[in-house]
Amino acid sequence: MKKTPQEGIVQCVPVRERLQDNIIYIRSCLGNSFDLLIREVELNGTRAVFFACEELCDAMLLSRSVVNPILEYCEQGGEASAVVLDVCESVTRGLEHKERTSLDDALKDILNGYVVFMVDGIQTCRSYGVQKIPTRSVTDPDSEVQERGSREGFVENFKINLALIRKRLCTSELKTEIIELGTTSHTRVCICSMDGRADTEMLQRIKNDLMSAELDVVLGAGYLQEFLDKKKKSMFTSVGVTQRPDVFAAKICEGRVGIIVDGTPFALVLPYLFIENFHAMDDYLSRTYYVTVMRILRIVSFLIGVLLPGIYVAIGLFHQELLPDDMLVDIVTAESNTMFPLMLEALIIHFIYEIVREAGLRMPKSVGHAVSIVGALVIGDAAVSAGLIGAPMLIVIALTAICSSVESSLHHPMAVLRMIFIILGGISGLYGIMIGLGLLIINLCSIDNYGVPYMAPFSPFEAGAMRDAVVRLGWKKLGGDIMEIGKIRERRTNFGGSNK
Amino acid sequence: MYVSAIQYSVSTSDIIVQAPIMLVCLLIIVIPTCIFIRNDNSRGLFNRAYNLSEAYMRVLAVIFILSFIFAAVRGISRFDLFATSVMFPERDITLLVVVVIVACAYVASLGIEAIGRSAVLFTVIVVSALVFIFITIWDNLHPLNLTPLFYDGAHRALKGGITSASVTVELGAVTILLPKIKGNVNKALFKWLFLLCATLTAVASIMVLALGFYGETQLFPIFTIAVMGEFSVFQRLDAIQTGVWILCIIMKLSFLLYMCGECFTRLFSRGSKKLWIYISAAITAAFAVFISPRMNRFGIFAQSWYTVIPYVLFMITIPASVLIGEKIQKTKRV
Repeated sequence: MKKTPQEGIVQCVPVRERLQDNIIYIRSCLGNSFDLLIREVELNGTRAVFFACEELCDAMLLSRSVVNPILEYCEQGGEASAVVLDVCESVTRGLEHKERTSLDDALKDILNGYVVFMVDGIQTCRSYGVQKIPTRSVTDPDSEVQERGSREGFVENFKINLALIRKRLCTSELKTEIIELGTTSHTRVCICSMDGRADTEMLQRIKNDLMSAELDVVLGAGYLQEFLDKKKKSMFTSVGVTQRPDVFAAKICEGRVGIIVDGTPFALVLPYLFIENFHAMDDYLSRTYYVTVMRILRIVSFLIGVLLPGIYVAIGLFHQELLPDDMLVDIVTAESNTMFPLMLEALIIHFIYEIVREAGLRMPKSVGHAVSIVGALVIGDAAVSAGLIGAPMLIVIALTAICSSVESSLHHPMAVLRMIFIILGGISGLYGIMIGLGLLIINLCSIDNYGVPYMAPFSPFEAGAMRDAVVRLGWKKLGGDIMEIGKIRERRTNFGGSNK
Repeated sequence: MYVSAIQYSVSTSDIIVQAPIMLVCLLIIVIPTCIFIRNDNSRGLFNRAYNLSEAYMRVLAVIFILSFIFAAVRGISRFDLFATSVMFPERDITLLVVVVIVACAYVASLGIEAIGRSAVLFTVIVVSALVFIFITIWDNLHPLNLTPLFYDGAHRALKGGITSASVTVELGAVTILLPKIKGNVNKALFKWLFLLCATLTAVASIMVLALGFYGETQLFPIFTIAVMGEFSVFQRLDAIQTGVWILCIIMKLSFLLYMCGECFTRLFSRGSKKLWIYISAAITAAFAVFISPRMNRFGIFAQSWYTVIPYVLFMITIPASVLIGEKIQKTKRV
């Protein structure tokens, strides 16, 4: 009897003495799967069988390293049972092999690409690692493009991903632990951390949260993100996502916990801070003055991306007195030719932009470009000429769209917030925007993931971490620790963590 | 320029010294609180009062609830006055006031940690905005607007300073929140008082230098200064000032509602804090809606002389009474 959090109590069927019973059991479990390979052989008068999933095995390796040596060994007078009982290690030397006493474990091995060898009359079997899981090669990550950073990105195979991490962190401090999640998918999830740097209590809490995730299938890292995000009522997430092994390695060196999910090229890092959305791997490879300017630029882009259309609508509808007369006349002239009120116009154009973006993203690349061009023409020249929108509004939305592309990780909250601020600006002018902004800041400040405030190192203020927040000091001053999450966690707020 | 005849004879520069006077008053008022904190900084006022008598703890909770609700209503009515006279002069803004109170109740329900963290960022935003506005009106600062200090006697400055001191009802919250605060509370308290004094002195100085006597006739002089500000294509900056003021109102109101929730929980020992926060918000909203239609009702909650005595008594008596009670209890045991 075995107990797992996902499955509750599961009966484990032991390997039976009669080979036929085992074959029937495995057949009954897998049905008439066309890729199930059951190869029966007779070895010195004893019945034996090889089970494998044909598409998951390397046929050459299977025949050269497992089937042939066993057959040869038996032809020379060796007993088939000896192979299973591990009497003869030399038969299948050099291969990963496991002894299995349960048919469920054997079945799991078959589904993971192992070949399972069973002999009649023996209540144990052997699994040999001859997997050949289809995977793509390591390529440039397409979501976090860097100018000077590494060209390697995570792939779908978590073992390759783990190798990419190990390659970068050649230390015994790097600890990995694999758990299986999803009652049906049995997805392998690897928890990575640095011994002595990651807080053990935090690590345990993350493990517990993962184990308590009641999921049927786990097909991507996003499935787990929700279970790790402590603040549900926020548009922002305190679980970072990366496709880059170098970023992942750097984060876990700062005392964070990394999670690699099999089958997805995106890894999770937590806890994650708000300011990290504006950081890039290139920041650590470029000169400090440039990095600082770029970071400020990204923050300004975020603010423009969220607030500019709302502010434009607010000024246009409520605070005309802020602008000089000439500018105001130009705007009024442009807007008076349009048929929609300013707020509705902003919402419509923003909505169309999001549709074009979504279409460009989901369509096949060749068609996607065409959609983007058509969208740009429709939104641009044609809409202004037709008097649907004003030219200043078009410029505002175009600038907003460009700014929101600077930080792709924040695109989702930005898109929604932009609409909210347009509505607030349209209803109550700049005052409404300020109320909205205030609530947004408070919402951000209330996020606290595994004891680390999302708005650190600004609030609570952590002087040490400010060396790499907006301004990045040179490596000589940064020294070994960049932004040790443990220090932020220790300091945490002056309110003793009591949020009751 | 219209200058009120009543205000004309008064020395405008006296406003600048009001802040230091306020600081002196607060330093005196805060002494029992400091002793209270120094005595035992691990237990809050209610816990220590409970040890003396449960009924006493409940009385204190009621006093605090009343004072926090009074402060919250005063804050929101001032916002109401500002909104009806400056922001939207021809509209009924009751709905906006209610929306602000609901927003503040939500913020209060997020907890003291969220309020505390946000306050840090809000302070930076507010100070930056004020500095920015003051820089933009630099050319409009005229030293000639400075009049001799205490030209008509010191009584007005003294009265103003003491009245200003009576607004800081938040000081009372320190003793209640004590178990939730880490670090040297007394040191932080003194730092806060001195920073408050420095900020108010700077703001008052700019106000006097920029507006002179005209400032005396203004209900919201900082707003008037912001109207004078000009930056790049923007011809006035009052929207920025109003915006940051709204942020301050949200923060202050959220904190006061949270404190009401805390006191209510102590008073009734049941019900979730969130529920009490929303009840406090409803009470505040009811008062705000009552005050909103009539101008004369705003006067009830104005910063005035009659609030000083209860405030001083409240700030000095409460911690002092607990300290004395503890002393007596200790003596009896011995």
